[in-house]
Amino acid sequence: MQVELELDRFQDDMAYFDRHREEILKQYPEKWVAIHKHEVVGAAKALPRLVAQLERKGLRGKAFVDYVTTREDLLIL
Amino acid sequence: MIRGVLRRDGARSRPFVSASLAIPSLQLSADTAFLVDTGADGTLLAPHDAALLGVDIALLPPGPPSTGVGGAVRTVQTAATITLGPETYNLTLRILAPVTRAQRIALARIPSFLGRDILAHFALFYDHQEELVLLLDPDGCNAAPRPALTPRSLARQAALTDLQTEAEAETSRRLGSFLQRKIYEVPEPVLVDNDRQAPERDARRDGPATNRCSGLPSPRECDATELNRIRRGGLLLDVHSVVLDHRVRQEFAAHLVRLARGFGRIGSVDQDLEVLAGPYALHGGEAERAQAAVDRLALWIIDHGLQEDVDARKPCHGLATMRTYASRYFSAVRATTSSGRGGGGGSWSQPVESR
Repeated sequence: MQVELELDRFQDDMAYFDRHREEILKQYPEKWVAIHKHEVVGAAKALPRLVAQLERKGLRGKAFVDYVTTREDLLIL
Repeated sequence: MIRGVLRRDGARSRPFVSASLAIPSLQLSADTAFLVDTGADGTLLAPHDAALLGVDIALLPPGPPSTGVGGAVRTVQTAATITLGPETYNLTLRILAPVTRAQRIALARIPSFLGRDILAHFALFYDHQEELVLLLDPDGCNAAPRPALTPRSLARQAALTDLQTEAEAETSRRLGSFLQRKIYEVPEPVLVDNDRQAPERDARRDGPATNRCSGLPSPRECDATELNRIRRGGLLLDVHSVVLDHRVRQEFAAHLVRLARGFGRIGSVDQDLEVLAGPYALHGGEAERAQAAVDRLALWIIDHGLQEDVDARKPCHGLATMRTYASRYFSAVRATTSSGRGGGGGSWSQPVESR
């Protein structure tokens, strides 16, 4: 049950990121950004630096992380 | 039921689900967003998710290369568990391990994929218009409503329902039950039973016999008479072949034969091969035309018109993809795929060839 709640919260953060993508993009262009409980809890140009930030906050593996960019990639899998 | 999300990225939207991924051997775990990818043979962890998880790929044995539109990329693999909702599944997790700088750049933002090794546990429901991404477990799948019939089918069904008698409904139910049972029990249609042929031969040679138990005409007598009647009429048809034939209209002639045979020997003969045991005079109506339309999905006798016929003898054939659904998604799929260049193996436009 705890895992399910965690996953719901994680997915909610993902949805939050998508809803506020434009605002986040203005604030953190071309950066890796971490969201936890509807808050930006870290941002960095390089992923290892963001991982270090999350490690310090005890949020590694819990925060939703994505790269914010104006570039649109087309995925053909 | 696992509810995913349709993530929008500019003009594009992609189906994602959240899962808790764990690698017990490395004592690592993390919540991860997976792109639902029915085209991926296996679940694949992207480099940035591996970094967030804290995986040191140098410690893991190599796996098979991941081959995609952009080429092939080296992978490493490890035993892992993935938790989706209340269930946890074991899997062999493959992690992309790009070697060249070009590969690292091309794959930096690629998401992790939830492949068919995990998707096989679910029925996937994806509706772009309604922004629904659902992974249905077997219980949820059984409870889900089936696709609605077309308005034309519904109108035809309503008209035919008025004509259908209670006896026909019972016949329909029993025939449906028989077909569902027999289609999967009998690998090939058994047109004529050997035990049945023998009495026919005996009857032609020895003449009529009587039923020891009831005194009614025996199967031997009836079958011989029936056979002669068929021959006199010039009909060369197998009365039992229709049982496993979903082209119901062909059954009309056979039905006349069976109807004639049914009078005077109800319930005591022909018990083993008669499809609908215990026929009687009130069941004389040719019910199959009506029931075919009403129960055609359940009976696997749907007429697809110009589309290919469904072979009911094949086990586990599913409902054919409905053309309306395909049309509905066609424009979206075309818009998504018409100018593609990136894939699981990297980017098509990368300057250095993938290894």
